[in-house]
Amino acid sequence: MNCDRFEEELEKPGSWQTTQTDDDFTRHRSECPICQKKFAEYARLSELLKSDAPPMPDDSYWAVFPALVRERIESRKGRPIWKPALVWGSGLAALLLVAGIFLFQRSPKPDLQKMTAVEAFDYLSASNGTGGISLPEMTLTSYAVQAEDELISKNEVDELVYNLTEEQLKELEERLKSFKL
Amino acid sequence: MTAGEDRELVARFKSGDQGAFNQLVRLYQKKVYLVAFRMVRDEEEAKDLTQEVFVKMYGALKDFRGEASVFTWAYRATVNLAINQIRRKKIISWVPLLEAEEKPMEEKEGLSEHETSALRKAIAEAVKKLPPKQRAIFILRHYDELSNEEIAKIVGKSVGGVKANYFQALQKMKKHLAPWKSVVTGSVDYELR
Repeated sequence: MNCDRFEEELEKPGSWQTTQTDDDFTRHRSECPICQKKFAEYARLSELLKSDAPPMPDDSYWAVFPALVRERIESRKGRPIWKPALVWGSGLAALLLVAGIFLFQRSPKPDLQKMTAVEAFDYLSASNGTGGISLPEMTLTSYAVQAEDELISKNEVDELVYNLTEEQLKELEERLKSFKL
Repeated sequence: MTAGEDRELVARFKSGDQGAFNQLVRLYQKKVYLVAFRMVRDEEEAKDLTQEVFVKMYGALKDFRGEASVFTWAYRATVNLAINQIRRKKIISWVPLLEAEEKPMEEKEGLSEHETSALRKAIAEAVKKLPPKQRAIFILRHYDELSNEEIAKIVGKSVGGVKANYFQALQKMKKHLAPWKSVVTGSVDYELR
């Protein structure tokens, strides 16, 4: 019995569903009870996994998908400062800032800088009406992305390889543990 | 789509034909999404990740020298971005996160809606228990039926490492899904988790 020779063949997903495999393997499988059992197990696993069809967005989504990618690319390129929207946006931001300072002076709030992210989460969840969107979580996530990007930028590797080394991962964990808003 | 055709599209893009990039996106968008979904198990995250892969690709294609195929590039970017996403979620899991909404799945013949949904959940849980890189290897080998050599290039491991990881992943999946084995063989002697 030379089962080892066929072990890899047995594990090939294709060989569980089709008989289009090499003759030696087919013959061995029909004669060897151990391989028959293994084959049956893999076939059952394959059958189970077939049930797991991912939810696929419909065709209308895929039709506009390249445009969505373009939009994201453009949004990262930065916009010229003379854009009217930016001028209006700056005005509005300044107005909100003045209003914010005024409100802040009227009712002093706890110092978020001294809170941990979890305490701040509890405080802001109770006080802001963000409809279930947790502000600290968003801030923490963007902080994590930023910290990760910083660490990755030190890697002199192919542009498509973003993996952090174990040391970098530990450093990131440390940074996030001591993160404060 | 052959590697030669891919290269031609890349060459057109590099010479200023923006439509060639759109063609590349259309070619790989669904494949990338499927891998992304199977890695992160959340539809919205997978859509976001898919967009991100092509944004990265747009920047990287300018320096593309054709040493790897676009297909390998796209898969590699997907797997790496997904692994980072999984790690990031794990690190910040102490901040309350909303539970991902369970999506309906195609009903399996002979199973009730409840059983089908429970089976899907069991598969998702089993996949999530695999370490990120092993998860990627399992998905690329099992669902995409890529060769060990292709997967080795994508995940940056040796062919032997890929084989060993795939074998381990298979054993874990079999173990995690053991209570469901009899469902597909027609026996009623199974239990729902």
